[in-house]
Amino acid sequence: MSIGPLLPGRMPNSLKSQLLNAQIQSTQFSMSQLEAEIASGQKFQLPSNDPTDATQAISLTSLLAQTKQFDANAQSGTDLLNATDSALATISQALTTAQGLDASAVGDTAIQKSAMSQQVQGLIQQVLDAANSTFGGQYLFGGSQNTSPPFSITKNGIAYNGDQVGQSTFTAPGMAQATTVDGNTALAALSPPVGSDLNPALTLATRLSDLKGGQGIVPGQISVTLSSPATSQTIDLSQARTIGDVKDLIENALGAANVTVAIDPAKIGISITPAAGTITIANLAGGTGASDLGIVGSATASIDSGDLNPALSLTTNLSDLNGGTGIGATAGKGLLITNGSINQVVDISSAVTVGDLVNILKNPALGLSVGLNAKGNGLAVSTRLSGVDFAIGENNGGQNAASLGISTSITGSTLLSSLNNGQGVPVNAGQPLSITRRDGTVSNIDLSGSLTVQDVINKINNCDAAQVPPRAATLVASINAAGTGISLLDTSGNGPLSVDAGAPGTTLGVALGLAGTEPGNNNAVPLAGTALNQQSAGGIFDILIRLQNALQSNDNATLTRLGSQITTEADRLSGVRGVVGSRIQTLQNIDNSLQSQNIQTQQALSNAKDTDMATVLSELVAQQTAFEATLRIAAQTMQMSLANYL
Amino acid sequence: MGLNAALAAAGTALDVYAAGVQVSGNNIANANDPNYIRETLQLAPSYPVQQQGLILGSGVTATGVKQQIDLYLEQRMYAANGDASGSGATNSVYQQLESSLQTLSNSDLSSQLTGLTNAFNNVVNQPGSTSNRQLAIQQGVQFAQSITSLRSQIDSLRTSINQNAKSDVTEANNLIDDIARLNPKITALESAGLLQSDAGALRNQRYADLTRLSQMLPVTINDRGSAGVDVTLNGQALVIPGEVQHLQAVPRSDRGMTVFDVTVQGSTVPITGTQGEIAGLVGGRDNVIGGFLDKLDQFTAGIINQVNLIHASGQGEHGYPSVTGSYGVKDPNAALDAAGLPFPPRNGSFQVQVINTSTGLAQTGTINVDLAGVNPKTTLNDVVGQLNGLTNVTASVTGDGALQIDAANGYQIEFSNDNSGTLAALGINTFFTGSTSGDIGVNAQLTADPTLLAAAQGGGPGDGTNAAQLANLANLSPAGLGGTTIGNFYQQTVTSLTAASASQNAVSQGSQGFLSSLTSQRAQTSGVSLDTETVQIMQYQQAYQSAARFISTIDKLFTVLTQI
Repeated sequence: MSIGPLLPGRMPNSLKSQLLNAQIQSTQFSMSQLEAEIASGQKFQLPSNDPTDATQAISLTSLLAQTKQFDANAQSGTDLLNATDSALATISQALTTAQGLDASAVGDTAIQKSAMSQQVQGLIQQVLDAANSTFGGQYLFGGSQNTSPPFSITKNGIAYNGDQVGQSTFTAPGMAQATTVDGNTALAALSPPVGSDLNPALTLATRLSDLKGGQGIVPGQISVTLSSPATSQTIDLSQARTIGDVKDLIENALGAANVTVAIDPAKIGISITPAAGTITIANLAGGTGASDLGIVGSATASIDSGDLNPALSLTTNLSDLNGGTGIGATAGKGLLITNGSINQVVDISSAVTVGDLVNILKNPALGLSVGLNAKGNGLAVSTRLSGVDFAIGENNGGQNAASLGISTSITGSTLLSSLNNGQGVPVNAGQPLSITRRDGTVSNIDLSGSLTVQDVINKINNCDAAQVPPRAATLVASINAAGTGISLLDTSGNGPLSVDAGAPGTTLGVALGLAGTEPGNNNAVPLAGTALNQQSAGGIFDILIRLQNALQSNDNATLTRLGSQITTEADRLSGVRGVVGSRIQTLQNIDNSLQSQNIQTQQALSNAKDTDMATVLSELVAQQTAFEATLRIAAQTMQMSLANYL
Repeated sequence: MGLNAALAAAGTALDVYAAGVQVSGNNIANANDPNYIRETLQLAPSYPVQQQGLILGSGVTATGVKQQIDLYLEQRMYAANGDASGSGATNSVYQQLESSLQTLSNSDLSSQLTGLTNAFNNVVNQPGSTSNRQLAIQQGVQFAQSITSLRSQIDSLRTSINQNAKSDVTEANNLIDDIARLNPKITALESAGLLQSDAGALRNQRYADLTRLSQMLPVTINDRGSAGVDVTLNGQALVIPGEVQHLQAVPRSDRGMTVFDVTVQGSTVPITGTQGEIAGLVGGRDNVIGGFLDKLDQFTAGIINQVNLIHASGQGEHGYPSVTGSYGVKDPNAALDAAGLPFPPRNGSFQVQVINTSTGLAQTGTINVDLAGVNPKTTLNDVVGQLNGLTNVTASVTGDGALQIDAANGYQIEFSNDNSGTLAALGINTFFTGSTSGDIGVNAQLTADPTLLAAAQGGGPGDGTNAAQLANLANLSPAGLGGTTIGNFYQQTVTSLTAASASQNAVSQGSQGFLSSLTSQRAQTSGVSLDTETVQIMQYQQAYQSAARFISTIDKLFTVLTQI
């Protein structure tokens, strides 16, 4: 209660007691406020006591809680990455051991190699344990499939059961840091995905968010002017979610009789055509609504958006692929999938959409990882199996694999250097390709200088004519029906047809997939070459299994080849460890800065909110003194009365 | 003038001075009544007589007992009473509301929001951990409960204000009756007097009534002297001669409960403004608390819709064998954006994955929701039709207008890519239920099975992509919050409440201070000073003694005369 000003005049007793009451109340009020400040440790009990500081305290408190969580996030991420790093260290160690074994094995005997293969078996187990290691109950290398072991031994190599979805954690609002490395990134557990641009056709059902390769567009307002009937309108397309919506909104605004919006003949964009006269479409000032859809045009007879590049989605119809030409006949055709010991014709005739096809390919018996590629314009198919070769070819003369962009077939123009997992074909090693013909003669064909598969085929087909003296051309090389390799047909006689693996140290016959013998005496049967463009995972499991097999079979050629593969993989793995290490460092730096930020925030919060004890205590003492004085004076003045003197 | 006349004058003087002592004695007796108005005895020389050419005084007469009151000051006090009580009442409403919010503690709503986003952060850190998911859902339940319990605290605050206003109405009606009763009595008592303040005790009582009434209502008081006072409120008569109007509490439905407005009987215009306790309370209830409730509802609806929009497009560790929406439409044949849903959907589509639980393979179907306004708009029955077109899915509309989707045996349903907001609008695969601060809750399907928390976007149990969006919740600005982020909105609401409360406190202190100064002035004029009264009594005593001595002198004169 405040004390009012005293006007000159009477001082009745009631006024005196009123004033005293007010003084006592006001002092007691400020004293109890100070006491509350001391007891609670806070400068204010209600925010309105000090709105400026209280508002600051409220936002600082929330900032503090947020910072603490970010700090906890950074720490949990560091823990996860540390565990990942130590698992990777074990794996890296195993790879180094394997490198040593491989280097020393080439000159060793078969028995020594067999003993080494046992050692490799131990390494495989060691790496498997590390690759299946867990932290806090989650498998480190499983991607998002981290509740069950990501790697398992199958009859057909080691399978990766995880995916490529990583985890991350927030260390600042909206700023995520990756905290895991999936099994493929860490251990190259999947073969490089095959899948090229399928160029799906634009349809009325295509979502605007799927345009521009999945980047999507957010539609806005456009300005449309027709010359006949002369009209100009602003059309708001912000409600549109599909191409069909765009068509509806434009046709509805201008009258369907006056303008037609349709999918263009190439099925990659839309065309907007007025019934008569010309059309002009422009952006609204400051907007990009028309440019986003590519439909800016001035006084033309028709406007075409150009390629809107719709992304592939699981609901895209297979018939809409390849610009609407589809994937060819599927009945009786399909895909020929070779994945280690799996060799299966996959019937895709029941698939209508990309999703259906993906489901068929996801059949666990095929051991494939199937999804959409990173660009969003095609499929991505890899083998989940390490240690085996993987190929997709055509069945029964079909074109499904090629039309789906997932064929690993070769063509005449396929570069030799891209074959055999990128190892190429040693055509320039100074050794010819040696073929024992069905008539018993031996043809040595010099393939040096060949760059493409067609070059090799041409040289083989030419060999009879090029012989001195020339003989009747009876040897025909061609790409086999599945499109996976080269096959040889020799009609020179009725004996067996065989191709030499290659001189020791070179592997020309093996590299062309032709090494071997067609023992029959029917010269209409070709010597079928093995697949040349086989895919393989190439990671540590792949290497170790192949190393083990090569040691067991005393295959020096493969051992030599694996040497360079191990070096490449070791470099890649140390790169991954580098990434993990730098993530750990980043998170630790963030952790440090968050902790100091935490302390600063706490200081600021304390300044805003906490009682300054020294000040408050001295104020309280001052108030107490004043209060005592007030009471003393009150007692004295209240006692004074004229009646005392009568 | 003869001795007899002198004796008579002296006798009157004795009477007058005895009355004077009585008046001062009465003042002393009432000295401790703060409403008491001190009285003084008004004296005047008696009418002179002309005798043998001399005009002689005939002693003293008491003309009356007068209340020492400054009527102009009283009028100012009535107005100041209204201001002080009105602003004080509103201020107390502010302070009670602030106490309910617990802003400075660690359990207020903004801390709960941080707790919820922190729990989502932990799901992001380790999406595969069921206990993290469980904690996030638990935190959601706690968040929802802290909103509903805040709402019920605020509602009980409103209820107590209602009761306060109703008891104020009763008190005001009693005061009105009392004033109306006192008016004629005072008139009757003072009919012979000239001072228009003779009926001191009754007037005191009426002044007290008027003071209290002016604290409750912004009344205008017209003092017509002995004829009585008229009391009017915003031009409507409460007390005028021959007529008394009472106040009444009129029920009205406001923000989910019955509140009472105060009106003059027969009028429909409620008493509002800033003056008087009743207007201060009612204004505090409707503007301060009501305004805060609107913001709280806006905040709640913004969060519910934002969280649900994100959640509905994500997937849990497994799909739903059966799912029922938490929001029903009024008419399944009405366009979805006009079917009475609290969060109407927009034009767009969503996708449904039907998963074969034994193979894990999914069939994706797209459900189009056409609300662009060109073609006939999609209704709930249309959505049901499209869903029924998918293999292994049965959809129907429940009795209360909600969508129910069932998967065939051995199948489960998941949802994704909803750019229409339909799933959130229908409450399918959502996190929160309800739409206001009164009914927010967490979807019972999630509390029963935490693995349904939609942390993933297409990945396995370790996929936290969708949870990451939920963890970023506080930085999102849903349409309903006018461009402010969720995290800032509540803080801004509390900040503006705090600032308003502080300024209301200042206003209240100011008007209280002004009232205090007027009260001091009133005490200076009308208060009893014991010393003054003692001096007064001594004066009367001495005058009485002198008059008595005068009588004894006259007595002696008579004795002399009779001894002749």
